[in-house]
Amino acid sequence: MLDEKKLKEAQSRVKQYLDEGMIKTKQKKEFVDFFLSNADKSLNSANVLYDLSTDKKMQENTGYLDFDGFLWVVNACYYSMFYMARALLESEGIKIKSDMSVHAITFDAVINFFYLNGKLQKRLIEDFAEAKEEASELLGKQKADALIEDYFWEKGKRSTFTYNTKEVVIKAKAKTSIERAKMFTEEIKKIIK
Amino acid sequence: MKLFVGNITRRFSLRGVGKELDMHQALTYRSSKGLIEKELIVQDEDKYVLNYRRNHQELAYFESLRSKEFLQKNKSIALMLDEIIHKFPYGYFCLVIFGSGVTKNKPRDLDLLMIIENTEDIEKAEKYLYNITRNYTIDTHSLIISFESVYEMLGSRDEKNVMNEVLNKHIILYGAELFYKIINKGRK
Repeated sequence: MLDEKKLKEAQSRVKQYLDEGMIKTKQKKEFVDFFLSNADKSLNSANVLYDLSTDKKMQENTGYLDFDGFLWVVNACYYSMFYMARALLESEGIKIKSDMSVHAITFDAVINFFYLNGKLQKRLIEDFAEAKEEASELLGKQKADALIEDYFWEKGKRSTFTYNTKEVVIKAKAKTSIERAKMFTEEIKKIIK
Repeated sequence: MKLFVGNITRRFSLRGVGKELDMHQALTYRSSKGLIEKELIVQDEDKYVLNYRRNHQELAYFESLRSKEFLQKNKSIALMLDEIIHKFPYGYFCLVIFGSGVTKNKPRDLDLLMIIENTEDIEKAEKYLYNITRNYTIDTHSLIISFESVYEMLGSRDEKNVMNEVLNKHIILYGAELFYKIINKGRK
């Protein structure tokens, strides 16, 4: 997924963002806790949605019979990773100031400032890319973040992942998303704290 | 002291201490002398045992050194502990690692014992703790018991139960002073 060409392109885009002031470095590290807290809240939301989607007793108690929030579990998990990535950048005084897709710029910035210099494992970056991809696919927003989509879209996977994806598959995806988000947030926290 | 606090009720001869720590006998005797004088360890027949009835602040300090050493090698557990301390709604509790995780360098799963004051709070406390530990990759098996249950277990000295097991195999992550206070009260 992360080949040399894509990494070089991300690096080159970051250079451009820096020139245009969309990414600023050596800034005040003031919002680390804010992003960490948002990441925690997102992961907890994913957990609650997953529980409510799988626990019949909880469904009865809340009155949401046959509740199915798996799609939003995937989305909340992606957001927990996105906020962790923002916290990581913020902890190094790196800020993103743009009306363009903050998600795509965040991804490139994490590659440039943390992956290319070996501070972050390849697996974590790939997990992040995959989470972004799955969240946008499942929610039908494939075009929302064009930059990410252009560089990390896997055509083979796309054909197996349609809007008719069966519930059991989405449930498995939701579970995987939670595990991936747990791993990502834990590893980033180790770097920040 | 790390050896004695790690084995609260185990008795050691001074020769045994030297062997366990791979220390020269003369050095073992010299270091133990200071501990005996300060009543941190006391004589029990021909051997020595931790004096868990007194010096709780000092014992808590030694436990904190053991815990710090463990957490330095296990950053995920350190992060989880930090979150538990900050988010757990009950202020008065002990958190202890027991079982095989104590001796492993990088345990993959963790037996976690939490001691809280009131039996009626256990059900809620289990949920609070679960909602924190579930967000970490380490597989955590939690057990929450109240002071009352601890006293009951400690009262049966020869019985095989969690508390009697914990005494000689534990890492106290939080609330060490309280832990020793409970042991002192519970062990007749």
